[in-house]
Amino acid sequence: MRFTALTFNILLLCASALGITSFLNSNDQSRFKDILLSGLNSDDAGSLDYAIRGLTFLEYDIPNKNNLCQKLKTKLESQTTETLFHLGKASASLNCALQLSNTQKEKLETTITASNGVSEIFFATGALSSFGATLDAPKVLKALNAALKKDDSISSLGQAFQVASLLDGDVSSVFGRIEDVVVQADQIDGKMLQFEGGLSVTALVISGAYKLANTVGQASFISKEQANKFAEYFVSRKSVQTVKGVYYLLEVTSVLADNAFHIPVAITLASKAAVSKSEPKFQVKVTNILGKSLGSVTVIADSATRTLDDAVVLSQKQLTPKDGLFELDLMSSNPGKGVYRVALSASSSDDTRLVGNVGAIVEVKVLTKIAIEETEIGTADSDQSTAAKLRKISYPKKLDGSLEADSHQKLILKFLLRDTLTKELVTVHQAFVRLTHRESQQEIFFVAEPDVNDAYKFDLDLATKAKDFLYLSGHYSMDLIIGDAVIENPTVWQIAELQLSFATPSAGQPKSSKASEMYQMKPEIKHMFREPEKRPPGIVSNTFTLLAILPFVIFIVLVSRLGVNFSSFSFSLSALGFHLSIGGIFVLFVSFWLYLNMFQTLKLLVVIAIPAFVSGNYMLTQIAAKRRGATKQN
Amino acid sequence: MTASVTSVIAKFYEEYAKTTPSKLKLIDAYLFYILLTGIVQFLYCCLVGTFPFNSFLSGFISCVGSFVLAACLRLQVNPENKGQFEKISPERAFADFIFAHMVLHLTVMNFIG
Repeated sequence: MRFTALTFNILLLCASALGITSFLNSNDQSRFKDILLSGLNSDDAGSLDYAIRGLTFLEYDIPNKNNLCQKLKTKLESQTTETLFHLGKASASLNCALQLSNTQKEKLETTITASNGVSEIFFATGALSSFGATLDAPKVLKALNAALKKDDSISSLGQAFQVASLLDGDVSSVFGRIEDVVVQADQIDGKMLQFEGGLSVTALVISGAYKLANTVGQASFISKEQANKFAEYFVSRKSVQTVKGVYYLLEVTSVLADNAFHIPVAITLASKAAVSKSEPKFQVKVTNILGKSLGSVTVIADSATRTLDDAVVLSQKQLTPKDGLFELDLMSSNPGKGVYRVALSASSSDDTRLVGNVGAIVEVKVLTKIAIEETEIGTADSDQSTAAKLRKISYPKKLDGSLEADSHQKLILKFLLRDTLTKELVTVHQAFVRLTHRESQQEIFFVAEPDVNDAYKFDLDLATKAKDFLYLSGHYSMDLIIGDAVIENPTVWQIAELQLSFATPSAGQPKSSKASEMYQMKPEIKHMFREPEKRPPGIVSNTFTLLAILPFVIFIVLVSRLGVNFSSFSFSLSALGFHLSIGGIFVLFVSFWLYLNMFQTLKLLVVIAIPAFVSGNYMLTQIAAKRRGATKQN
Repeated sequence: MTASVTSVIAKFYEEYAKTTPSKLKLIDAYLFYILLTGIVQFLYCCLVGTFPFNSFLSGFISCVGSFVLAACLRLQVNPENKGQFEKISPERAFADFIFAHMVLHLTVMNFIG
């Protein structure tokens, strides 16, 4: 079982590598036509040629053919091989009766030599063949092979394929080179193949290869998968803007749309990418790369897989043809809602050329209708002390009267969403409850969440959510919004009118959400001095001041009890000076404390200290002398 | 026990009053006064708080410094220590005391705030 699943996956992977995702539709083609028509006004032979041949591919009837033929004729005197090539191709497309002179023909024939290089040979043979001259096949082939030995770049080989496809006889030596070229293609994202040099080189090589294979009558060395990747590349380049680019794109796509070997198939969605019960069918278009029908094909849906869980809902079911399209009733296999990948294969009993016809993927959405059921709305106490009071209400009615709730209550809304197809409960991407304040039209949204049983419950606690409402009490209307990518009937249901009252904010004013207030001036920042520490009461400090003075009083008392005699105090000049200057120093210290700074103090201190020192020294010397005198007398 | 302590103290006081020179008694009175002032400041700090901490420090440092200086003066002036301070006369000691006081109180005043 596992092995088969694995094989299936691998097959699916290979298949998804095949299948081109779009084609050149009518919009693209009309844009191409406009670009090419603008090219008709050009004076350059190359642009004229690309425009004329491009319009021929589009099967567009070119106006003023005669004027264009005259314009081409005026350029016939030109001597370059390339111009003659373009004139020949263009006049052949327009059926102008332009002729080359014999000298011009001879000159072109002499150009076909190895030394002139592949591109000169390409232009000369192209010009000769389009002016109706016969080509000397062996001579051209010899020159071509010799030129390829010197230069075998991809564009040279592309031109060589184009030349060889014009020749009769054995061109297998050039045909064999196709394989060498194809392996040089670069892969882009594993989906496309291209050659270095872009659109023109790739188109030249691929169209040349298929034309050559047609001439040889043998399938070229391009595999189905490679053909499909080249086709995908060409389709991806449909935004090309130049006349030359458009020509190359149209040439190669017309080759890919009709050749004997590979026809890339585009399986694309032609209807809306959604089905529902009322429109159960989707349609696909099966075309070639140019958007043309492929004739009788049968289209089979290999599988339809839901992208969400890889559930397969159908396999091997044939699509019914209708007006050139193919349609499938996807709803008949009862898919659930969701996005499905449908793998389609187109096959034809009589055409084996189809490539990319297996495993094309289209994405289809299955839509369903949702019914809102068992809706109940009501209030309950926040502390759940009493049972909730819920009232039933059915879609699309509105609740009678208005529902009141205050800050001690919770608002409760319960509902179920049922898929009307499968009758199962479902969840959706979006289930919102919108509350609109009637006066200010201020809206607030909440998400209704489903529980494990897919039952939706919305629960609004007015106390905790009051801040979200900006404490704005009053009249609110309540809507239920249901939306999903895969439902047909997204719904806005006006459920009820509410009368909500919120508690005023506990701390401070609610922050205003008005943007204008954000830009208002902030209060000025002022410097704050440190607050002085608390001082003790006056009575305490006064008491302690007295206590601090008290010891001095005690000292005075003690001194007086000791009976110090001031009688020996001599009122000499030195003693007076000494005591006065000492007292002055103390006065100076006090004034230092009260209003002087250190420098002023030191200057004054020097002034006072000098007399104090001199007089002190003198006085103490006198006292000492007196004492010595006294001791000697004793 | 109490009686013996009181008798010891009484005897000590008697001895002190008798033998100590009045000059030293004067210094002792000064020391006692400073000691009390310091104690009062410390009490304030413990009971009320250290709030003007620099003022408390300068006041207390003033007391401690004055006490130390006065103690030094007492040592140098004491006739019993004469042997140790032979070269320092009481007058010289007093001059030092005054000078040290000037420096100490310059600092204290700077600190008092």
